[in-house]
Amino acid sequence: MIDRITALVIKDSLEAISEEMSKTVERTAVHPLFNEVHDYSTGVFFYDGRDVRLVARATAIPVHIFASILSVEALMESFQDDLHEGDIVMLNDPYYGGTHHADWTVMKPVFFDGKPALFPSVRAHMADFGGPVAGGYNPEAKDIWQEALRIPPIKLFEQGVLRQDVFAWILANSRIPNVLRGDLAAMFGACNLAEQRIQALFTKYGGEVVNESIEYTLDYAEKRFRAEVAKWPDGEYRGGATLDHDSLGNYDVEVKTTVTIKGSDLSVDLSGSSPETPGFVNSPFGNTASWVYTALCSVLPEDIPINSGVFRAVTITAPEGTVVNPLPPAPCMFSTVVIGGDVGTATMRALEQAIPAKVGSVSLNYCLCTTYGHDSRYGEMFVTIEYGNTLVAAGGTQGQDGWGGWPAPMCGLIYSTVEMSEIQFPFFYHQYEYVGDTAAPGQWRGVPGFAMKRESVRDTSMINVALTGVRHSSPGFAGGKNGASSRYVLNWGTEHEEEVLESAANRPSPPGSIISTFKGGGGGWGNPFARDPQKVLDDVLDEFITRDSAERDYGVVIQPDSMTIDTDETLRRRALAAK
Amino acid sequence: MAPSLDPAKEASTTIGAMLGRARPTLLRRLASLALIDRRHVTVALATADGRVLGIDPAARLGMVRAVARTVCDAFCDNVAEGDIILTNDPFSGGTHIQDLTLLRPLFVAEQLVGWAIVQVPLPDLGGMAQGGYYPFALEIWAEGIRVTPAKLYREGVLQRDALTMLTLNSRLPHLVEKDVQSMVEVLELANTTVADLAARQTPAVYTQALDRIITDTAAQAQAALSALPHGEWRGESGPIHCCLEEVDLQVIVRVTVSGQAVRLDFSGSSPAAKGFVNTTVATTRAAAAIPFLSLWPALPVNDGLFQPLRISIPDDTFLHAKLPMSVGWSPYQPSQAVVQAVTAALSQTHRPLPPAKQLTAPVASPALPFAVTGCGRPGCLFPRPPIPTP
Repeated sequence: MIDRITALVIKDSLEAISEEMSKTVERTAVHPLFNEVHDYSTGVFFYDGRDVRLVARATAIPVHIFASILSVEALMESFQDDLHEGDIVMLNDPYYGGTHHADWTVMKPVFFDGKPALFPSVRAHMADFGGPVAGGYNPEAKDIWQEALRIPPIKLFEQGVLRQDVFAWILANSRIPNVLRGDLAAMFGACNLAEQRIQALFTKYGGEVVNESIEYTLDYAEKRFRAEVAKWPDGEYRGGATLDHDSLGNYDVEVKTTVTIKGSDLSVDLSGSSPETPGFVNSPFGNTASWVYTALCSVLPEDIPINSGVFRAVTITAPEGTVVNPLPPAPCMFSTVVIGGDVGTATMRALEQAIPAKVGSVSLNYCLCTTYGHDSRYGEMFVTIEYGNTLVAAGGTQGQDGWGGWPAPMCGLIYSTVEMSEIQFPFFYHQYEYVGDTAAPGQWRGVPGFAMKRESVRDTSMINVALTGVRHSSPGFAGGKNGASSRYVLNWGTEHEEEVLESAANRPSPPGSIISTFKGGGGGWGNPFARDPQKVLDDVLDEFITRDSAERDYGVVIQPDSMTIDTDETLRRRALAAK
Repeated sequence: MAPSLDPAKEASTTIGAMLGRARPTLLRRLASLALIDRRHVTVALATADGRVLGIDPAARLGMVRAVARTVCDAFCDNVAEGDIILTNDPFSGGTHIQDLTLLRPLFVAEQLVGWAIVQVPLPDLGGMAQGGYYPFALEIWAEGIRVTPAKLYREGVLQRDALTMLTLNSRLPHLVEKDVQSMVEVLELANTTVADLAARQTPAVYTQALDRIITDTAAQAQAALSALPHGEWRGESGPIHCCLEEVDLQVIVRVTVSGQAVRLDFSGSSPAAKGFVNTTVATTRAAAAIPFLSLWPALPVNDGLFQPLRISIPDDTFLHAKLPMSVGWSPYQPSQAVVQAVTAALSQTHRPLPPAKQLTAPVASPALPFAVTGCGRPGCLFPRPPIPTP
C-alpha cells in the first residue's frame, strides 16, 4: 500500500503540473479574455477504461470543474482505441459534455509503458468561433446552430503532426483567426509541457506508485468531503431561484433544488425546474453539475482537494428536457452564467436551511455585453466581452462583507483593466466605479453596485446585450437584503437613448456614442440591524452609503456634525425594529 | 491495321459520356433533393492542374472552375490516391455556403492525372436560417459554417471526425451524411472511367490529350471571337434590393471586343452591400461567362472557353465580396443581374442570342420548400415574417 507521504508528494506534483500549465497558457495566450481575465482551467485526468476522473486541477473557473470531466470523457469515447503518442484532441460542443460553445477543451494523452496513462487538459473560453453574432452570445438564438461553430471530438495533432486542413477549417470560422490560432497554440503548449512533467513523474516513481497515489488522493478527498457532510443536519432541504427571462420573451424561468443529507451522503435533485426554454439560457448537464459543485465546494473547508473523489460522493439528478438538462438542439450559450448561476443560487438556498452560517452568493446575475467590430488602428477585427457592466456580484457571508467584484468562488477570473482595454479595443471609459447607496444591506453587506460609461471611439462597434438581475436581483441570505437591479442604456445622453430591458443583438455603436450601465452588487447576509454600528459608520465615511441609508437600512443614527454614532438613538431604533 | 482513334477525341467522348451518366445518377441518389436547388448539382472533371475538362450542367463552369483552381493550388503537392477533399467556402472559390464541393484526385500509375468533382447544395449547414438563406446576414457566419478545403478521405480512409464536424453543424445531419455518401460514390464512378480511359494510353498521352481538349476549345473560342465586331458596349441592370439598407444595387459592365480578347469591366457597379446579395469574384466571373455559352453554343464547355475572356471586377463593388461579407443570395438575383448586364452589352453586337429568360434560367430565383423571410419593403423578394399573434 502506498505511503501517505509519497501519495501527497505525487498529488502535489500533479497539482503543480496543473499550475504550471496555467502559467504557460497565461503567458502565451493572445486574447485578453485568456491571458488577462484568466477564463480557463487546467487539470490532469485519469481514465480507467470506464470512467474519467479529475485527479488534479489548478485554481480555476468553477463552471469548468465538472463539465471538463464530461468533455474528456467524450474525447475518450471517441478516440480511446485510436490514441497515439503525440496526438492532441479537442472539442467545444455543449452536447459532448460541454457547457457552451465558447469553452474549448484540448487534451493530450500521456503514454507510459506504451499505454495512455494520464490526460492533461486545458479548457478555455475562446473569444470568437463564427455564428451569427460575434462572441457566440446570440440573444436571438432559437437553436444551437444560431450560436456558433460546433466542434465534435476531433484530432488536431496526429503523432505530433498538425492536421493543417482541419485546423484551417476551424480558424476559418473565427472572426479573429490569428487570435484563435495563438490561443489554441497556448493550449497545445501547456499540454506538451504537462506531458514532459508527467513522464518525469512516471520515470521517478513508476506507473504503479503514481496510480496508487491517485486512488489514495481520490479516496482522501471523498473521505474528507463525507466527514464534512456528516456534520450537517440530516434532512431534505428545498431551494429555488428565478431567472428574469430567456431573451425570447419567456419570463421567470425557475430552478428548483432538493438537497438531501443523510449521514455522509448528499444528493441534489433538480426536478421541478422549468422545461427547457426557446432562448439561450438552457444549461447542459455538465454546466448544471458544475454549478451544483460550485455551491457545494464553496461551503467546504479550503484544504479539501477538489477532484473526482468529491464528485463521486454526490448524486445529482436533473430531468432531461428541463432548463437544467436540455436536449439538443436547445441553445445554451448564456448558460454558464445564467441558468448556471441560478443552479448555484438554488443549491445555496437549500443549503441555507441546513448550514446558514456557511452560505452566501455564488451567482453573478450576469449582464452580458459582447462588442465587436473593425479596429482601424490595427486594421483587423476585434471581439471582446465587456466586464465593466457586470463587474460586481459578491454577496455578504458570515464574517465578511461582499468584497471587490464577483463572489469568491469566481475569483479565478481577473478583470481586465480599463487602460489595457482602451489599448486593445476602440473604447474610451468615462466612468468605472462603485455607486453609493447601492450595496445590499445585511449584517454583512453585499458589494456596492457598479457604474460604467464606455464610449466607442474612431470605429463603429456592434453590441450584443442580455440583461438579467433586474426583477430577480442578486439574492441575500439568512435575512440579508437582495442586491440592486441592473440597468443598461445604449446611446446614453442622446435623443436616440435606449434602455435595454432584456436583450439587444447587433446594435451599432458609432464613434462618440456611449453605453451607460449599472450592475447591482451581491446580496447581504444576515439581518442588517445586527450589523456592527462602527462598520456602518465606516461605510458612511467611505461613502459607500449615506447617513440616510445608515438610519433607514441599518437603524444606525449618525450625528451630522461630528460624524459619530448616536448610540442611544441607534439602540432605540434597533429595539423598535426588533419588535 | 485499324485506324487509331485520336486520343483527345476519345477522351472527350468518354468524359462526356461519363458526365452524362453521373449527374442523373447523383440526382437519383440525393436524399435531400426536395430541399435543394437541383440546378447546382454538378459533376465535372478537371486536369491535374485544375482546369475543367467537362461539366454538367454547363452553366456551372465558372463556379467549378474557381473551386478546382483553389483546391488544386492548395493540395496539388499533398494528395494521394483515395483522398477526397471537401469545401463549401465562398472565399475559397465557392459560391455560397450551401454548395458543398467534393474533389477527388485521380491517379494513373501513381501520377496525378486529374480531378473528379461533384458539387451538391446541402439542405442546411447551420447559421441563422434553415437552408442558409438569411437576408439579414451581416456576415458569412450568419449564413452557416465555412468549410475551407479539408480532407474527408485520406488514402481511402474516411476521416470520421471531419464528417462529424460537417454533420454536427447541420440541422439535417442524416440527409447531409447520406448526400455526402452519394457524392463519394459518384466520384468513384468518375475515377473508374478515367482509370479505364488512361489504361488505354500511357499517362503522358492521356495528359496531352486532355490538354488538347482545352487548347482546341480555346482556339475555337478565339475564332468565334473574331466573328464579333470590334467595339465597346455598355450594359447595365438592376436594381437589386438589400433588406439591410435602403439601396438599389446596379450592375454596370463595359464589354470591349478587340482582336485578341473580350474585356468585361464591371467598374461603376454599386459598392458592397450590407446584406447577402454580394457576390464573390468567382460567382461574378461565372455569371459573366453564361451569356457566352449561348453566344457560342457550338463550343465544348471547358476551361478553354474562358481563354479569350478578360474579366475585371473592381474590389470596391458588391461583385467582389470580401471576407466576412454575406453572399447567400449571390447565385440568384445578383448573378441574374450580371447575366442581364453582359447580355445587354452583347446584344448591341447584333449577334443572335437566345431570349433573356432562357439566358437567365440557370440563375433565376429558386423554388424553395421552406420560407425565407425578408424586410418586405418594395423590391424585396421575401415576405416579412408573420407578426406573432398574442
